[in-house]
Amino acid sequence: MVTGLLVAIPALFLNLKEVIELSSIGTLFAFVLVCGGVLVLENSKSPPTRPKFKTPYINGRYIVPLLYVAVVVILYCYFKEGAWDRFFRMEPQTNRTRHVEAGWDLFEHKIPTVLFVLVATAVTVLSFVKRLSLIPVLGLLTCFYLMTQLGITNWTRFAIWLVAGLAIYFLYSRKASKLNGVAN
Amino acid sequence: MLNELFRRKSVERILRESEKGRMESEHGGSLQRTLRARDLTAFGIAAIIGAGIFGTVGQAAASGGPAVSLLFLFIALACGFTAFCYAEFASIQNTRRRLSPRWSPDCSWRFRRCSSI
Repeated sequence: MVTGLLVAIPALFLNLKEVIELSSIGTLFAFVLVCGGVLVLENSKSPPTRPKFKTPYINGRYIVPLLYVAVVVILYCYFKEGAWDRFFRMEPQTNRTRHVEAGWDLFEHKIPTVLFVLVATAVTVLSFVKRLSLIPVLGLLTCFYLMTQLGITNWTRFAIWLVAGLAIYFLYSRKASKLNGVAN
Repeated sequence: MLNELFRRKSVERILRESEKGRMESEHGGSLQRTLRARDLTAFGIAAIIGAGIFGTVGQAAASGGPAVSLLFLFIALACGFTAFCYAEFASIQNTRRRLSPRWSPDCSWRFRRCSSI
Protein backbone atom coordinates (compact mmCIF):
# COMPACT_ATOMS: atom_id res chain seq x y z
CA MET A 1 0.00 0.00 0.00
CA VAL A 2 2.71 2.45 1.02
CA THR A 3 4.90 1.30 -1.85
CA GLY A 4 1.99 1.62 -4.22
CA LEU A 5 1.37 5.21 -3.19
CA LEU A 6 5.07 6.03 -3.33
CA VAL A 7 5.18 4.72 -6.88
CA ALA A 8 1.85 5.95 -8.13
CA ILE A 9 2.02 9.57 -7.01
CA PRO A 10 5.38 10.45 -8.58
CA ALA A 11 4.31 8.55 -11.69
CA LEU A 12 1.58 11.15 -12.19
CA PHE A 13 4.11 13.94 -12.56
CA LEU A 14 7.05 12.31 -14.30
CA ASN A 15 7.75 12.40 -17.99
CA LEU A 16 6.45 9.08 -19.31
CA LYS A 17 9.09 8.73 -21.99
CA GLU A 18 11.98 9.24 -19.60
CA VAL A 19 10.58 6.86 -17.01
CA ILE A 20 10.02 4.19 -19.63
CA GLU A 21 13.48 4.58 -21.05
CA LEU A 22 15.07 4.39 -17.62
CA SER A 23 13.16 1.27 -16.67
CA SER A 24 13.95 -0.21 -20.07
CA ILE A 25 17.66 0.34 -19.71
CA GLY A 26 17.60 -1.27 -16.28
CA THR A 27 15.62 -4.25 -17.52
CA LEU A 28 17.84 -4.73 -20.53
CA PHE A 29 20.88 -4.54 -18.29
CA ALA A 30 19.45 -7.37 -16.22
CA PHE A 31 18.82 -9.34 -19.44
CA VAL A 32 22.39 -8.82 -20.54
CA LEU A 33 23.67 -9.92 -17.13
CA VAL A 34 21.58 -13.09 -17.18
CA CYS A 35 22.66 -14.05 -20.69
CA GLY A 36 26.26 -13.31 -19.83
CA GLY A 37 25.92 -15.23 -16.57
CA VAL A 38 24.72 -18.35 -18.38
CA LEU A 39 27.69 -18.12 -20.72
CA VAL A 40 30.11 -17.66 -17.83
CA LEU A 41 28.62 -20.56 -15.85
CA GLU A 42 28.70 -22.86 -18.84
CA ASN A 43 32.35 -22.19 -19.40
CA SER A 44 33.49 -22.10 -15.78
CA LYS A 45 35.73 -24.88 -14.53
CA SER A 46 33.24 -26.18 -11.98
CA PRO A 47 29.69 -25.55 -13.14
CA PRO A 48 27.18 -25.66 -10.26
CA THR A 49 24.68 -28.48 -9.81
CA ARG A 50 23.33 -29.50 -13.15
CA PRO A 51 20.27 -27.36 -13.82
CA LYS A 52 17.02 -29.10 -14.57
CA PHE A 53 16.42 -26.90 -17.55
CA LYS A 54 19.20 -26.36 -19.99
CA THR A 55 19.25 -23.89 -22.83
CA PRO A 56 19.49 -25.95 -26.02
CA TYR A 57 23.08 -25.83 -27.14
CA ILE A 58 23.75 -24.70 -30.65
CA ASN A 59 27.39 -24.21 -31.44
CA GLY A 60 27.91 -20.53 -32.20
CA ARG A 61 31.39 -20.98 -33.57
CA TYR A 62 30.54 -20.28 -37.20
CA ILE A 63 27.04 -18.84 -36.96
CA VAL A 64 27.94 -15.81 -34.83
CA PRO A 65 30.87 -14.63 -36.99
CA LEU A 66 28.75 -15.21 -40.10
CA LEU A 67 25.93 -13.10 -38.65
CA TYR A 68 28.43 -10.41 -37.69
CA VAL A 69 29.81 -10.21 -41.20
CA ALA A 70 26.31 -10.33 -42.69
CA VAL A 71 25.15 -7.38 -40.58
CA VAL A 72 28.21 -5.31 -41.50
CA VAL A 73 27.77 -6.09 -45.21
CA ILE A 74 24.06 -5.30 -45.14
CA LEU A 75 24.70 -2.03 -43.32
CA TYR A 76 27.37 -1.05 -45.81
CA CYS A 77 25.50 -2.05 -48.95
CA TYR A 78 21.99 -0.91 -48.15
CA PHE A 79 22.35 1.75 -45.48
CA LYS A 80 25.56 3.45 -46.56
CA GLU A 81 23.87 6.82 -47.00
CA GLY A 82 22.02 6.57 -43.70
CA ALA A 83 23.23 4.94 -40.53
CA TRP A 84 26.70 4.07 -41.78
CA ASP A 85 27.68 7.58 -42.89
CA ARG A 86 26.02 9.25 -39.96
CA PHE A 87 28.11 7.12 -37.63
CA PHE A 88 31.45 7.89 -39.23
CA ARG A 89 30.90 11.54 -40.05
CA MET A 90 32.37 13.98 -37.56
CA GLU A 91 31.66 17.36 -39.18
CA PRO A 92 29.28 19.64 -37.29
CA GLN A 93 25.67 18.66 -37.79
CA THR A 94 22.34 20.12 -36.90
CA ASN A 95 20.33 17.85 -34.68
CA ARG A 96 16.60 17.47 -34.43
CA THR A 97 16.17 20.56 -32.27
CA ARG A 98 18.20 22.60 -34.77
CA HIS A 99 21.23 23.03 -32.56
CA VAL A 100 24.57 22.70 -34.24
CA GLU A 101 26.59 19.95 -32.65
CA ALA A 102 30.31 19.45 -33.04
CA GLY A 103 33.29 17.93 -31.30
CA TRP A 104 32.54 16.28 -27.99
CA ASP A 105 28.83 17.08 -28.08
CA LEU A 106 28.62 15.17 -31.30
CA PHE A 107 30.88 12.36 -30.25
CA GLU A 108 29.24 11.64 -26.93
CA HIS A 109 26.09 10.45 -28.67
CA LYS A 110 28.15 7.86 -30.48
CA ILE A 111 29.67 6.38 -27.34
CA PRO A 112 26.92 3.76 -26.80
CA THR A 113 27.16 2.66 -30.42
CA VAL A 114 30.95 2.48 -30.22
CA LEU A 115 30.52 0.42 -27.06
CA PHE A 116 28.15 -1.90 -28.89
CA VAL A 117 30.55 -2.41 -31.77
CA LEU A 118 33.36 -3.21 -29.33
CA VAL A 119 31.25 -5.65 -27.31
CA ALA A 120 29.84 -7.31 -30.42
CA THR A 121 33.33 -7.80 -31.82
CA ALA A 122 34.63 -9.21 -28.53
CA VAL A 123 31.69 -11.58 -28.18
CA THR A 124 32.07 -12.72 -31.78
CA VAL A 125 35.73 -13.52 -31.28
CA LEU A 126 35.01 -15.28 -27.98
CA SER A 127 32.24 -17.38 -29.46
CA PHE A 128 34.58 -18.47 -32.22
CA VAL A 129 37.37 -19.35 -29.81
CA LYS A 130 35.28 -20.93 -27.05
CA ARG A 131 32.38 -22.32 -29.11
CA LEU A 132 29.84 -20.41 -27.06
CA SER A 133 26.22 -21.43 -27.04
CA LEU A 134 24.27 -19.54 -29.68
CA ILE A 135 21.09 -18.60 -27.82
CA PRO A 136 22.67 -16.75 -24.87
CA VAL A 137 25.08 -15.00 -27.23
CA LEU A 138 22.27 -13.74 -29.44
CA GLY A 139 20.24 -12.75 -26.38
CA LEU A 140 23.17 -10.80 -25.02
CA LEU A 141 23.82 -9.02 -28.31
CA THR A 142 20.21 -8.12 -29.09
CA CYS A 143 19.56 -6.83 -25.59
CA PHE A 144 22.79 -4.88 -25.53
CA TYR A 145 21.93 -3.41 -28.91
CA LEU A 146 18.58 -2.23 -27.57
CA MET A 147 20.40 -0.72 -24.59
CA THR A 148 22.76 1.23 -26.78
CA GLN A 149 19.86 2.79 -28.64
CA LEU A 150 18.64 4.55 -25.54
CA GLY A 151 20.87 7.61 -25.67
CA ILE A 152 23.76 8.95 -23.65
CA THR A 153 21.59 10.88 -21.17
CA ASN A 154 19.90 7.69 -20.09
CA TRP A 155 23.23 5.96 -19.79
CA THR A 156 24.55 8.67 -17.50
CA ARG A 157 21.48 8.49 -15.30
CA PHE A 158 21.64 4.74 -15.29
CA ALA A 159 25.32 4.80 -14.28
CA ILE A 160 24.64 7.18 -11.41
CA TRP A 161 21.75 5.04 -10.23
CA LEU A 162 23.81 1.88 -10.48
CA VAL A 163 26.75 3.30 -8.53
CA ALA A 164 24.44 4.64 -5.82
CA GLY A 165 22.69 1.28 -5.55
CA LEU A 166 25.93 -0.66 -5.33
CA ALA A 167 27.29 1.71 -2.70
CA ILE A 168 24.20 1.26 -0.53
CA TYR A 169 24.24 -2.49 -1.03
CA PHE A 170 27.85 -2.99 -0.04
CA LEU A 171 27.94 -0.44 2.77
CA TYR A 172 24.87 -1.92 4.39
CA SER A 173 25.63 -5.57 3.88
CA ARG A 174 29.20 -5.33 5.06
CA LYS A 175 28.03 -5.13 8.64
CA ALA A 176 24.52 -6.52 8.41
CA SER A 177 25.08 -9.69 6.39
CA LYS A 178 23.76 -12.90 7.92
CA LEU A 179 26.83 -14.69 6.68
CA ASN A 180 28.98 -12.71 9.09
CA GLY A 181 31.11 -15.18 11.00
CA VAL A 182 29.41 -18.23 9.46
CA ALA A 183 31.31 -20.95 7.64
CA ASN A 184 29.79 -21.45 4.24
CA MET B 1 37.88 -6.52 3.41
CA LEU B 2 37.45 -7.62 -0.18
CA ASN B 3 36.72 -11.10 1.05
CA GLU B 4 34.10 -9.68 3.30
CA LEU B 5 32.49 -7.77 0.46
CA PHE B 6 32.46 -10.49 -2.14
CA ARG B 7 31.62 -13.60 -0.16
CA ARG B 8 28.81 -15.67 -1.57
CA LYS B 9 26.29 -18.07 -0.19
CA SER B 10 26.92 -21.43 -1.79
CA VAL B 11 24.15 -23.20 -3.64
CA GLU B 12 24.67 -26.28 -1.47
CA ARG B 13 23.98 -24.25 1.62
CA ILE B 14 20.78 -22.81 0.17
CA LEU B 15 19.60 -26.30 -0.75
CA ARG B 16 20.50 -27.59 2.70
CA GLU B 17 18.63 -24.83 4.46
CA SER B 18 15.56 -25.23 2.31
CA GLU B 19 15.60 -28.97 2.92
CA LYS B 20 15.75 -28.31 6.65
CA GLY B 21 12.86 -25.90 6.39
CA ARG B 22 10.83 -28.51 4.57
CA MET B 23 11.36 -31.07 7.29
CA GLU B 24 10.35 -28.66 9.97
CA SER B 25 7.16 -27.67 8.27
CA GLU B 26 6.13 -31.26 7.65
CA HIS B 27 2.96 -30.86 9.70
CA GLY B 28 1.75 -27.74 8.04
CA GLY B 29 2.82 -24.76 6.14
CA SER B 30 4.37 -26.24 3.05
CA LEU B 31 2.37 -25.74 -0.10
CA GLN B 32 1.47 -28.49 -2.47
CA ARG B 33 2.84 -28.16 -5.93
CA THR B 34 0.00 -28.04 -8.40
CA LEU B 35 1.09 -25.52 -10.99
CA ARG B 36 2.95 -27.00 -13.91
CA ALA B 37 5.08 -25.44 -16.59
CA ARG B 38 2.05 -24.91 -18.80
CA ASP B 39 0.12 -23.00 -16.13
CA LEU B 40 3.08 -20.85 -15.37
CA THR B 41 3.64 -20.08 -19.02
CA ALA B 42 0.01 -19.01 -19.26
CA PHE B 43 0.51 -16.79 -16.23
CA GLY B 44 3.58 -15.42 -17.89
CA ILE B 45 1.79 -14.54 -21.10
CA ALA B 46 -0.97 -12.87 -19.13
CA ALA B 47 1.65 -10.73 -17.46
CA ILE B 48 3.54 -10.01 -20.68
CA ILE B 49 0.55 -8.34 -22.27
CA GLY B 50 0.57 -5.62 -19.71
CA ALA B 51 0.16 -1.91 -19.45
CA GLY B 52 3.48 -1.21 -21.15
CA ILE B 53 2.33 -2.33 -24.55
CA PHE B 54 -0.90 -0.37 -24.48
CA GLY B 55 0.75 2.67 -22.98
CA THR B 56 3.50 3.14 -25.50
CA VAL B 57 2.47 1.46 -28.71
CA GLY B 58 0.84 4.68 -29.88
CA GLN B 59 4.01 6.66 -29.52
CA ALA B 60 6.06 3.95 -31.14
CA ALA B 61 3.69 3.71 -34.08
CA ALA B 62 3.70 7.48 -34.47
CA SER B 63 7.45 7.66 -34.83
CA GLY B 64 8.03 4.33 -36.52
CA GLY B 65 5.03 3.91 -38.78
CA PRO B 66 4.36 0.43 -40.10
CA ALA B 67 7.84 -0.65 -39.03
CA VAL B 68 6.48 -0.98 -35.52
CA SER B 69 5.46 -4.53 -36.34
CA LEU B 70 9.10 -5.34 -37.08
CA LEU B 71 10.01 -3.76 -33.78
CA PHE B 72 7.66 -6.13 -32.02
CA LEU B 73 9.23 -9.07 -33.79
CA PHE B 74 12.71 -7.94 -32.85
CA ILE B 75 11.81 -7.42 -29.20
CA ALA B 76 10.07 -10.78 -29.10
CA LEU B 77 13.21 -12.41 -30.46
CA ALA B 78 15.44 -10.67 -27.92
CA CYS B 79 13.11 -11.58 -25.06
CA GLY B 80 12.80 -15.14 -26.31
CA PHE B 81 16.55 -15.68 -26.21
CA THR B 82 16.72 -14.18 -22.75
CA ALA B 83 13.81 -16.28 -21.51
CA PHE B 84 15.88 -19.40 -22.13
CA CYS B 85 18.68 -18.00 -20.02
CA TYR B 86 16.33 -16.98 -17.24
CA ALA B 87 14.81 -20.44 -17.20
CA GLU B 88 18.22 -22.03 -16.94
CA PHE B 89 19.29 -19.74 -14.14
CA ALA B 90 16.12 -20.29 -12.16
CA SER B 91 16.38 -24.05 -12.42
CA ILE B 92 19.92 -24.11 -11.04
CA GLN B 93 18.53 -23.59 -7.58
CA ASN B 94 15.47 -25.69 -7.96
CA THR B 95 14.66 -26.21 -4.31
CA ARG B 96 11.67 -28.46 -4.08
CA ARG B 97 9.89 -26.19 -1.69
CA ARG B 98 9.29 -23.62 -4.31
CA LEU B 99 6.18 -23.60 -6.36
CA SER B 100 8.03 -24.43 -9.49
CA PRO B 101 10.88 -22.96 -11.51
CA ARG B 102 10.55 -19.34 -10.77
CA TRP B 103 11.30 -17.95 -14.16
CA SER B 104 7.81 -17.46 -15.44
CA PRO B 105 6.41 -14.66 -13.30
CA ASP B 106 9.68 -12.89 -12.85
CA CYS B 107 10.76 -13.12 -16.42
CA SER B 108 7.48 -12.08 -17.84
CA TRP B 109 7.33 -9.12 -15.58
CA ARG B 110 10.55 -8.10 -17.20
CA PHE B 111 9.20 -9.00 -20.59
CA ARG B 112 6.38 -6.61 -20.19
CA ARG B 113 8.62 -3.78 -19.25
CA CYS B 114 10.97 -4.59 -22.02
CA SER B 115 8.27 -4.70 -24.62
CA SER B 116 7.40 -1.16 -23.69
CA ILE B 117 10.55 0.15 -25.32
